Amino acid sequence: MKKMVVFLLLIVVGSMLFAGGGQEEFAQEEDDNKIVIWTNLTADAQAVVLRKQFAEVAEEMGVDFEMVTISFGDMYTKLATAVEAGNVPDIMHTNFSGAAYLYSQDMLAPMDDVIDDLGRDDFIASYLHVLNADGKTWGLPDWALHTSVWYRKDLFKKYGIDIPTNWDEFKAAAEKLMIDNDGDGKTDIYGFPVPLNATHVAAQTFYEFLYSAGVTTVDPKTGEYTFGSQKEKAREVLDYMMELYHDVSPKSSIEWSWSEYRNALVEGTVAMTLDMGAVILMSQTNNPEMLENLGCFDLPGPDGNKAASFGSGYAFVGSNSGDAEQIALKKEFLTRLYTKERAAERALSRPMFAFPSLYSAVDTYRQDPKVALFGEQIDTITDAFENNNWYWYGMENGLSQLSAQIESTTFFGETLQSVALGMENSEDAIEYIDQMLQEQISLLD
Amino acid sequence: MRNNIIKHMGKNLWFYLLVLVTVCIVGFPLIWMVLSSLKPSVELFKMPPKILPKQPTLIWYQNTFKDSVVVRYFLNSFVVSSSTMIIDMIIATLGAYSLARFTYRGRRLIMMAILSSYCLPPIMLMIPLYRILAALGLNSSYMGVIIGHTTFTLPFSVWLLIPFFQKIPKEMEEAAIMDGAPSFKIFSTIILPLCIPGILSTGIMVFILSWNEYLLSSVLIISDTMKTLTVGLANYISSTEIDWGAIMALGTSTTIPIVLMFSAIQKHFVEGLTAGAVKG
Amino acid sequence: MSNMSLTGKKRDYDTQRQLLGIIFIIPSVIFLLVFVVYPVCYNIILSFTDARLMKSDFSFIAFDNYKKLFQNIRFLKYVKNTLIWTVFSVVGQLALGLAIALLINKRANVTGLRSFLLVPYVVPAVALALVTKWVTNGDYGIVSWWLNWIGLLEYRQSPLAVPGSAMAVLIIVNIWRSYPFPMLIYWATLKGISHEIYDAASVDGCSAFQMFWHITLPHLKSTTTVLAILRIVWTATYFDLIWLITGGGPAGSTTHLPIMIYQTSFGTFQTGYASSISVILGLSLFVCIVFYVRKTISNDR
Repeated sequence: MKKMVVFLLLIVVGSMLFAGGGQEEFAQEEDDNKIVIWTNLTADAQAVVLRKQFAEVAEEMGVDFEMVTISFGDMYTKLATAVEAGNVPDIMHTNFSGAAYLYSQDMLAPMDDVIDDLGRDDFIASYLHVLNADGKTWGLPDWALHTSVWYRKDLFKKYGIDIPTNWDEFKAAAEKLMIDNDGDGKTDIYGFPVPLNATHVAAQTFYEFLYSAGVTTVDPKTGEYTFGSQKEKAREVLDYMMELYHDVSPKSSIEWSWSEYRNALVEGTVAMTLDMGAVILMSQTNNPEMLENLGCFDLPGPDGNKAASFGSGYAFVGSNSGDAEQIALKKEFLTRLYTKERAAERALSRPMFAFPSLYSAVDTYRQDPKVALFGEQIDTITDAFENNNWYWYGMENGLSQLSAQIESTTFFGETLQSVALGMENSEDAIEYIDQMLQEQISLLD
Repeated sequence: MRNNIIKHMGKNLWFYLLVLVTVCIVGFPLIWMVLSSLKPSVELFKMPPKILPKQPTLIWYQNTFKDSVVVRYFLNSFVVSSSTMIIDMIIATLGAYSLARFTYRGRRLIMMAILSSYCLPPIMLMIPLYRILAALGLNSSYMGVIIGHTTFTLPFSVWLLIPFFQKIPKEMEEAAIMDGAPSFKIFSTIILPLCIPGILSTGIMVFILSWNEYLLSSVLIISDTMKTLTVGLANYISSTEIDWGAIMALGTSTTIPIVLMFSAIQKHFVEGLTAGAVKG
Repeated sequence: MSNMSLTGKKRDYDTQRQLLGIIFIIPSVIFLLVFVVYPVCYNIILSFTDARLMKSDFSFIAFDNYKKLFQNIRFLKYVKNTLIWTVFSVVGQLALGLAIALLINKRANVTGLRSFLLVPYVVPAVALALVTKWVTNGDYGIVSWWLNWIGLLEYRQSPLAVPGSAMAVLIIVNIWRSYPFPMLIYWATLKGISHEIYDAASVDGCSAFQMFWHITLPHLKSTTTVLAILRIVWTATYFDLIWLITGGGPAGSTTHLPIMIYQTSFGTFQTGYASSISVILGLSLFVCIVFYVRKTISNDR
């Protein structure tokens, strides 16, 4: 017993010291000369590169920095916490929705001067467009991502399938790719999964189909709510998606998220999947043999002509807190991050997932061995970025907090899952989604 | 006679069989977690799964602890849990002693209040607590989390401690008081030492509850370097890549210290709980 | 004279004693007032406002949140889920707890076994949730594989992707996690039943079952009531396990009120609305809490 008391006392003293240290460290964040940078991550490789670049720039400028990583899953909870406590970071590296959310809270400083200094023409125009609101650009686009259909080239060849050009052909291709290798009556490879995990993924899957059929949440030109007047079309899209789910998708995909469907393609249990190219990094680390079999094409529109596709990206945004001097400091920090080498290096931390925002960086990107196998795919995707429309849910007309609302809620997932399980018909489902979207819009100020 | 022995054995056989089944069911999730953490990738993702790892490996543990942030999670959890334990124990021993041994107006009301808060679930305190801590500037700090954990555990520990104080013979206290007035000194020199087993076991229970807490910590903590183990562990799954081997390794490392601690004190804990929580 | 001073001294002593008792209880009271009572009141106030997560100012909107809640077509479904989750979990853990308590009650050397059986009580919910997700994984989970093997589940399906079975998995896991508490309490109660009653019954020629039915069960009645109330309150509001295993899915089939509160509060940022759900949940459990407190305190006296 005595020993235990001594041990306990040691714990007391030790932890008090440590807790004191923690407090101090926290207090330092208020320090004026230190730049606090938040980044939300979807891959560790990203953090490594960012930390390295921040350290380089901080040394060039002779300032301190602190990098705080925030996982994508609880980004909005954390942002809200920070906003509530008046504790916003100086710089944030976040996706376009996160930027929209901070913009809606009046937290951001416009970045037009930085963009002009760096050369507005060098930025890919459609990236800049997303970050536009009120005639200003509220962040520096870092890289963008684009949803395509990633598929098994070897299987397409083996079964004599051509790249589908409309939805009927797409479904027919997926049906042909339901493969039972060993003849035991169990499907070993499924044609195409319809992942519907309620957090993030269900809405992303649905929107790729909606966009390609021309349905949008708000009008890309006027910003007016349009989903309500396109319900009939939205229902057809949903019905088609459900046909795919019932006929060519593994049943458990109803709960699949990113990791599951990517893993399924990389490990060879599905033949195609919608993805933003993250399958490449996963294949490089988990199953390099699969790499040369992977390719991508753009999901076709219902009758061949695709209206738009689903895409987004990451941006650096700077908070508007602090005096002119501090804001200038942040801007200089950001400017230095935009050499073509650094821009390419950041995008390459997620090969084939992230595409750099500077024209001058694209060539450096292309030549990197990590993406050398995929010249053709890079052409397909960069072409789509420049010449096609691509939106992120709720941001069809530039920065809007609606996208953050869609991203942080689960009503899309819940409703789509209900339809997939036959608990609700598609008409009611679309009706409910419409109602919920309107409610979300009414909550915006 | 022989018949009797056989009958006795038969009876025992049933008993042991039942115990065996129970132990298997109770042990399964934990044992499977440990076994999975020892399997290399090839065996983890093999169907049908084999129970025992053919080529056991510690690679997942090495990978996990190579990541300095995981070590940090352990430290954070340790700091938060032990601070919670200390603050909680200081307030709770005083409170429990007062409720167990003194009579004054409002005692019954306070008893009821404490018992009601014991039932009050964290999720219902979450929103206001979050706002209050934010207003105090304590969100995203260790202190905020510690206060939150103390709030959730205080009623529990007061309630658990009361019977330990009740058990001390009244005469002992009275004899001590003979020479003078009741005072803090008598409490700290005479009463408290008698209750050390109770206080230690309750304290460790508080430590465990705080170590295991997830909801409030996940909402309050922003930065990765401040995350507690449970929050860090939960993030392993919500991220875009799920590394089952690493998850199982970290899960095992989170669970084992707690189970060991609990085994050390469970005798006293059982005593306190069965006397305090429910009196049938 | 001396008598008088003695009573005076006694009175002095009593006042001083009272004072000390009050001083000792003050820290607990302050803590409860600031971090329990005040938050509860604050919660009730918030439920009548349009408060949002990231805004500090809000205005009163009377009963609008409650109206909205009762008009929400999903609300009833979530209430039903809450009931299913609570009833089955509580009945299951009480039954299992009692069964194990009976099993180990009459044996002498069971301390080691009892310690082992208590372990689930302290296993972190997060770790348990992750193991559950792993064993029910559609492609590599051992439980999914077993279920498929005995023909209960489709090939490469996960029980967590099917509405009914997702709830069943959650309830089973929750029973696993929470039976030790009832087990302990039942075990202590069983120990308290005097042997003489059994001996007498045995002499009268009662069978083991009759003894259980006529002696053991009546003794457990009051324990069971108190246990059930306590566990109902805790289970109905228990959040971590469901959140980490299914997040309320699939198709909202495992969304209970605490998950709804969380999603409203941190998903759509409607703090006020979330508070109103919390108040409704709290009110319905309030009855249970009052009952429990009255029963426990009266037993205590």
